[in-house]
Amino acid sequence: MSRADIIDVTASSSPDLRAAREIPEGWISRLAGKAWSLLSGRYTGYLLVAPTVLFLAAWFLWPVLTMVYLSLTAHSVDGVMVEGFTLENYIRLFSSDLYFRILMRTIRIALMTSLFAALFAYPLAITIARGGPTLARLVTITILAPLLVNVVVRSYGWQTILNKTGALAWVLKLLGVSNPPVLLYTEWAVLIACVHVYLPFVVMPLAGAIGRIDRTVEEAARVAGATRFSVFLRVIFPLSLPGLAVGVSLVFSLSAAAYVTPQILGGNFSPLLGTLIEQQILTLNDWPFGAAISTLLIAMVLASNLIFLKLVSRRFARWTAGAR
Amino acid sequence: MATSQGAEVRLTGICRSYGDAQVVSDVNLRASGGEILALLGPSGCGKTTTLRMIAGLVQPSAGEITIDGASVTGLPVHRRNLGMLFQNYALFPHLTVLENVAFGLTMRGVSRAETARLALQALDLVRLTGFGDRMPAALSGGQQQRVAMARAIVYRPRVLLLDEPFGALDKKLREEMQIELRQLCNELGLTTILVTHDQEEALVLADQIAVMRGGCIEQVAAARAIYERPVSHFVADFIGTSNFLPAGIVERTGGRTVLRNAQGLVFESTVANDFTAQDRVAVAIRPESVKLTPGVAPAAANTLTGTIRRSLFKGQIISVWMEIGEGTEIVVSVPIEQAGTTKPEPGEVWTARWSQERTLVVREQ
Repeated sequence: MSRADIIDVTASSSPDLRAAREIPEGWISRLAGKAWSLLSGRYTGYLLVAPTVLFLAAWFLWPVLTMVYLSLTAHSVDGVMVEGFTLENYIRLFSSDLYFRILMRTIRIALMTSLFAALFAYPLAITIARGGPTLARLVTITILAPLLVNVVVRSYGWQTILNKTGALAWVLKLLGVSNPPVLLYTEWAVLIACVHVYLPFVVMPLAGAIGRIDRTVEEAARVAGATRFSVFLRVIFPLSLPGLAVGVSLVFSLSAAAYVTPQILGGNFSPLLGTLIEQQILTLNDWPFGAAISTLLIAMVLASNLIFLKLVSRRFARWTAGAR
Repeated sequence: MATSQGAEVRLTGICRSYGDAQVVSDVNLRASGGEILALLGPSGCGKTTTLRMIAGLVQPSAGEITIDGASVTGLPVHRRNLGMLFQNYALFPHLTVLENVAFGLTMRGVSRAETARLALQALDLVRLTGFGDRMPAALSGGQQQRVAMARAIVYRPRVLLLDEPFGALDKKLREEMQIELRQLCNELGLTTILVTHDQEEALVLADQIAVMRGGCIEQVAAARAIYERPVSHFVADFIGTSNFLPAGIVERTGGRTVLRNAQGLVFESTVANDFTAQDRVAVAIRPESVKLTPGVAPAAANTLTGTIRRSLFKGQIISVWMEIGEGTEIVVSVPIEQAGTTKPEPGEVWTARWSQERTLVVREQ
């Protein structure tokens, strides 16, 4: 068949093809057409997020609202729910010294975890963003590895390292420390394990932010007389703040709400809010009080995130001012 | 700002290779105090790498760089006391214009009051008075590059390095900035090394031009000399346009060189470089050096007869292509005011002539 023949054949058959492709008249096709015009029109964005929004509304927002409602109810000593609203649970939470101490400890651990994670994250993030591809991949895999291990297994792993006869004590003894400190069942153990597992949540957004910093901006700083340390302090650090904000608020939220890790590594001497909630709901069956602690935890995490992100976004808006 | 005498920069046997690829090989250059030196060449010729080696951002594999006679080869970037402009301006997006300009002074531990005074002065110098509180993102490209300029000169660097500084600006603004930069550099007496692929920019800005090709220096000469006496086919082709006619040297007497090509055409030049009969050379003729006259003329040196093939209106000039032999065409620029009455039309036979002073002889590859 010559080239002309091929063209000829297609040309002659094309009207038939077009007829076959035409959509038959009917309500189904009209509906499909309408749905398509909706999808491709100005509702596209809403339609695309709708499944997720509906899912979250049903399985997250509604339970949270139920929980908040529950926290405003009370039950009598014999466990029967009492009608009407009360702030009694919240008053009890803040008036008891024990609960307040646990609240403070939770905030302290969450803040310390965020701080240490951020400190360790910078060298790692800079390596990922600026190092060679092989090194960057190696670092990424290494810091993501803890996430692949189940939280219980990971925590028991730390237990065998941190206990009285564990690996850490053994190494310290070998180095000549006569009376090595036992970290297990202290806040330090919880802190170490939290930093370990939540590190990638700071490193990844930070590496992204540092990767977006124009290299010539760093070079301009160095030519203008800045040492490498000054370049970090005056260029990389301020320009990486958006990434740091995302990372730190993630780590703060996750470690404030941590339950398994503090339970296994902190023991009964240093419970956090998560442990307290579990005790109230599962052991003491006091659902309203448990709900009040949970509500407080959520409010705390939400507030800290909003404040943090707001601070950074205000700064960031200034850098891009006028560009829009 | 007081005039500071620029420093002398000297590159000796500079090489740089990445793995097996030799990016810069055996570059020898000298920029004397207060001079503007342009590194000109196509992309990938090693010009930017050479500039970055002067800045200290890239370490040379071999060779030595001296500024005012002192070697800086081992000196870290921040201690070289240089100023640098980048194609994308590279301003600090989180600092105000004034803070950007003050950066180098802050790094040098200059007192707060003195820093503010010098930074404002530098802003005046680049005609951005009153812009100190703005953020870089709120400025246009030209303004951003002026801020970068102020940031680079405020601490009186020994040498100013420019890496395609106006590449991102449109033509009109670029020309304005070039003139401004030239004035500023002359005022400050700054030794300036400019990297560009734009021959026009190099010609406008530079006192000396070093044409680079494949990591090597092809020719270094004053801007005008490099245009009027290019040594090689590459340089003649890269700076301006030229018609190349391969030819052999027949005779050299005094300042005059006689050449002949395969068709027996004779060329005479008074501006030929020192080539011998063994060198592979070509005659290069700028389109604007040629004068066209209608009809056939008797055979003579530097005279070609041919048929007009096509012409193209380009504004101030008309480019005319003339076929002078089988498959060989030369391009001639006819100024628009001369083309008014007798314009060469396709198919006509015309004669092209040019003078001995305009007959360039260049090395062939």
